[in-house]
Amino acid sequence: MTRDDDSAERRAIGTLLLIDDVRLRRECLFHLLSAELPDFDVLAFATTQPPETWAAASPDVVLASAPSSGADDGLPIGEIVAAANGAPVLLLTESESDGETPIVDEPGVAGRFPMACGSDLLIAAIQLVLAGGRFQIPVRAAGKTAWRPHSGAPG
Amino acid sequence: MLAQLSRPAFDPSPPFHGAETLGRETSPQRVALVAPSGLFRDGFAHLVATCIVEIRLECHDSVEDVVPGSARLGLLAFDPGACSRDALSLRIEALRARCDGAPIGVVTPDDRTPGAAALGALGVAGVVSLSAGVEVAVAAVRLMSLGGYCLPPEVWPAAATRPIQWAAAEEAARAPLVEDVSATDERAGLRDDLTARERDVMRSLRSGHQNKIIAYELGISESTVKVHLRNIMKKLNASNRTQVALGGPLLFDRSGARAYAAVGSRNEFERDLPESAHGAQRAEVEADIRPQV
Repeated sequence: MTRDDDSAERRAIGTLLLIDDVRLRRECLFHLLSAELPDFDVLAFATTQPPETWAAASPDVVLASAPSSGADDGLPIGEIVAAANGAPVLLLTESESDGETPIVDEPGVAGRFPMACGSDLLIAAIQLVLAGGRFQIPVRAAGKTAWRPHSGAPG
Repeated sequence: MLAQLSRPAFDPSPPFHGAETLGRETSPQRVALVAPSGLFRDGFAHLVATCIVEIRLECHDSVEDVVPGSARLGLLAFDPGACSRDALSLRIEALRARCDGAPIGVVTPDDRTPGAAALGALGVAGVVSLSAGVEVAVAAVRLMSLGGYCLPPEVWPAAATRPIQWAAAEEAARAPLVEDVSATDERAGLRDDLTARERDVMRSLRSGHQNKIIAYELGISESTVKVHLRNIMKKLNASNRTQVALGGPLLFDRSGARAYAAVGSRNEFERDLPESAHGAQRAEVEADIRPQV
């Protein structure tokens, strides 16, 4: 394989759209995802930009921070789903309990991902929804969590 | 304001070597980060690991998970569940205790925080807002890990020495450590004491070069560079190469023009503080011993 072949192979094969109004978290995640997903162009937006601009990015997958259940403020999920143009939308939720919301209740949403979880699980969740799957936090049983948030610095 | 990022956005290079001390190999300094949000924790850890080679960041879900021991800095990402001042104070004190009294920085959203003045009274070394950019956050961690303060102006008592200006700190954080050598030299008034070779070494040092690079540039051995640096440090009354780059501890910028002015001056304050002084008491003591302008 030649060097040209190598570089061609390294070209981005997808676009990941990150929408989060918390700047520091957005930029940290942007750099982390850019490093962890070299095959993807990562674009990061705040919601101050009109949804048409997000849609113009033609994303393959959308990550968006979501308000807690019942909260009035935060990102308009309907607009995000519409702007995703059919791309799977993974909502990042601050509350762990929101991750247990059945995703069948939210058309166009491929899953809710609690921010308490680590980046390893997020990468796996992104790959899952890209493959057409849906991400759902396992239901807790007998008062014990079925999963444990990742702790520790990335690799 | 459009907040779009696309690769490449923030170039974290060159890695920072400011805490390297003369004649001694640097080893990563332990910094404890406590953040309940795994995503933020991993993202922030990735950023710090990329940008600050001298720091070894240890990440934890809660303060109780921090392994007790000496740390250069403790960072506490604000937990929305602990938004009261008392709850935050307890967490700060617990983290400080586990970090052997190391300075504590707080990462906090603007809208859920006890006032900045309250955080100052709690004795934190710095406040990093979640609305800040990554460049500012990295610079703030660097500054705090070197013993500096990164606090908004309202925290500082009006009677104390002029504080580091928040806006100037952000500007300085984006700039090279010392970007205008001649201006600093003029302010220092110390250039006459230095030999021509020592000035060459100092100039190269201020460009952020390591000893071996300085040696290569000047065509001398690394040990000779160290000798020159020792002599410079004596003449400038500096205790490490960061102070040399800044022109010596006397230059800690009473004008408040540079964020890095606080490097070293914190150590001077700390020296006179009783070990048990924390929180409001500590803030009062620090205010008292801060030099007047």
